[in-house]
Amino acid sequence: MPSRSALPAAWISALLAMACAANPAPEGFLPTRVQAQTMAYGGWIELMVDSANSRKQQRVEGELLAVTADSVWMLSTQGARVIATGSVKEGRLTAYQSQTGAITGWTALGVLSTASNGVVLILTAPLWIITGTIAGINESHAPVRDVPGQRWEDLAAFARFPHGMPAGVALQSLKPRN
Amino acid sequence: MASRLRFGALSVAVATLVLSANCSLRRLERELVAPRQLITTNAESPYLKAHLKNGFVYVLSDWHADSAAAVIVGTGQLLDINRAVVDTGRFRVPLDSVALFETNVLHGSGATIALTVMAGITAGVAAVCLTNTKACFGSCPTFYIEGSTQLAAEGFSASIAPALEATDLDMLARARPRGRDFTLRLTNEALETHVIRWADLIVAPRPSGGRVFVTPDGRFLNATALTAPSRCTAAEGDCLAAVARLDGQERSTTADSTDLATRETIELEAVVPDSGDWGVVMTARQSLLTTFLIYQSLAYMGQDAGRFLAALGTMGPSARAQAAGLGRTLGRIDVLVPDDSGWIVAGSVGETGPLAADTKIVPLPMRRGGAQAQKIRLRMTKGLWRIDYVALARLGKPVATQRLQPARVRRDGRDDPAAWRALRDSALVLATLPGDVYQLTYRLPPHPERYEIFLEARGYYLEWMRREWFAEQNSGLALGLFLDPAASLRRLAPAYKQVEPDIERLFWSSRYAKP
Repeated sequence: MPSRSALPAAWISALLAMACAANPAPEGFLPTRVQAQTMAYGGWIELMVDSANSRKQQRVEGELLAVTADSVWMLSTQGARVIATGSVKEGRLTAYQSQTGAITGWTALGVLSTASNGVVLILTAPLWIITGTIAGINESHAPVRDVPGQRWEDLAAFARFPHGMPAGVALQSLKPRN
Repeated sequence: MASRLRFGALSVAVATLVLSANCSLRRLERELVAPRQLITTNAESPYLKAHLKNGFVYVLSDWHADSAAAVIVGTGQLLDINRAVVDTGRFRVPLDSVALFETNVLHGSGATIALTVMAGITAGVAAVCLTNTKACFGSCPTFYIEGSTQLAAEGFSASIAPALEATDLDMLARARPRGRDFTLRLTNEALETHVIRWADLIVAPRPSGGRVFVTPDGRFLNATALTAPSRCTAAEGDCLAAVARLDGQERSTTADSTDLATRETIELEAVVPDSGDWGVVMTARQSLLTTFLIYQSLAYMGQDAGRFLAALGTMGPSARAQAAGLGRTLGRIDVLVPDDSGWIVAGSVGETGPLAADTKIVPLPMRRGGAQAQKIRLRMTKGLWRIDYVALARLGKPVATQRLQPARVRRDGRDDPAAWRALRDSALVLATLPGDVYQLTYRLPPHPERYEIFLEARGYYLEWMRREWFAEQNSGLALGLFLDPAASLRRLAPAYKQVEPDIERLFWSSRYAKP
């Protein structure tokens, strides 16, 4: 059972869990916003692809290497592959880490700090929870780009090779980020 | 006080944290730029990535474009297709080797702005209380009828020391019991320690079509034929709408800017249908002027406040009367009626306390005869009183009352036998601290709707000293409040007028509640 002081954090976490975009990438793969300024890897992409052998859709994921209107190049631990965008039902790119956890923490602290507001906490505490929840949900979606919703070319900015696959680069020579 | 300061500090800390969050919680704006467009692109970007046609990438800081030489100059690293470092140092990158440039700029995010605004609001409310401590909530015990958020009564507001322990009788004029179990919520909403000896109900059977009121000297009288005034005039003009009904709409005004003891008058007229015994029923409460003055007195006493208030217990009656001089100078609401020689005082009403309005009745010396227009004058300190309701009522016989002790006392929803014993045994006391809430349940007589309900509470309270008050310690001025209250009320007028416009908002926004 959570302690009294942990209750605001638990509440906010529960609310955020209901509406937030999850981080699908392996732990440590995605950079923070600050790191993303200098790192040169692609974001993490998940695709639901029509399977050639069955009616079922196949889920594939990995680092986004490059993307054009008709092809997506990606690199997973199984190696690099190219997928026709026409066979992709839906795709989601996560470009960097969201700071939802930080917002949850700050919001919880904000809720606790309303103890200094006397009876006005009846207003300020729920306002903190509402504001923090909305901010957290927005924050969790900030690094996410969905297709459909955006064009494939719009994802290029967060590819390892934003200008497209370089000529002469063999797919098997590409290594995933350690 | 310490806890409020801690919470205040916490609010400021949150504000600081959220402001510092600006640094890490930012929106990343990434832009891809063709080589020939770089000259016009975002130079705000602290880093520049130059993606080469062969898949390599330069990551440069401290960069600039040399358009004449068609190169980019910067310091950083060259990374291969697997992002292993190939070279580091200062580079001159020819534009024609670059497929795309990438810029990244961090901007403030909507989330940060929202949290910063919230932190500002929270810290602002806390700061208001920290910097305007004489406007902060101070209350003595407060009583609410269960199920209602409207304050029903406040207990012994003038009893700020053990020596000033007193009994306070308040009419619960809006009580509408739905059954025989009647519950009051007793709260401590201020930075105070409340010491409550008892909190009993006094119930009195109502006359048919009438009510029971209590006189300032504690007599319970039947009252019928309640008659609203036909005219009410004050300095601001017609005030009839404010006082004609018991509806929370109050007639009040501001204090005098040169002397807080300056009096004002309200002229009333009501047509009474017959001769007989009539009285003026009045529902009123104080403004926050008294709260300001109590806090100012404590501030002047500073570190010596505890010693002084404790010494009151050992002082003689004359010294104690001297200490009450400030209250006497401010006075109560005098009810005057005309007689052959002018105006005479029929009685006075008004008890200390700015929170809950109390209702009392003042019997009038009536002239004999038929229907007549009765003139009444109310005289009071300007800006000190808020009057909700005035009416005339025909007085009946004194009423036999019944005292009810709490049958059950609960705290946080659970029975509290120790508190129950304390409130039933006058040799014991119930001490409450900020944020404490008790439910006191009484068993009313059969047909409870036929009874008028009053609350009689006895005790005293101890105001917690605020650190900010110590800065104003001045024994000379403290002594002046007791030796020459009239002069002190003139001297404090400018200070009060400065806080008066906001004092109501500040006061209610600083009420203490447990989170």
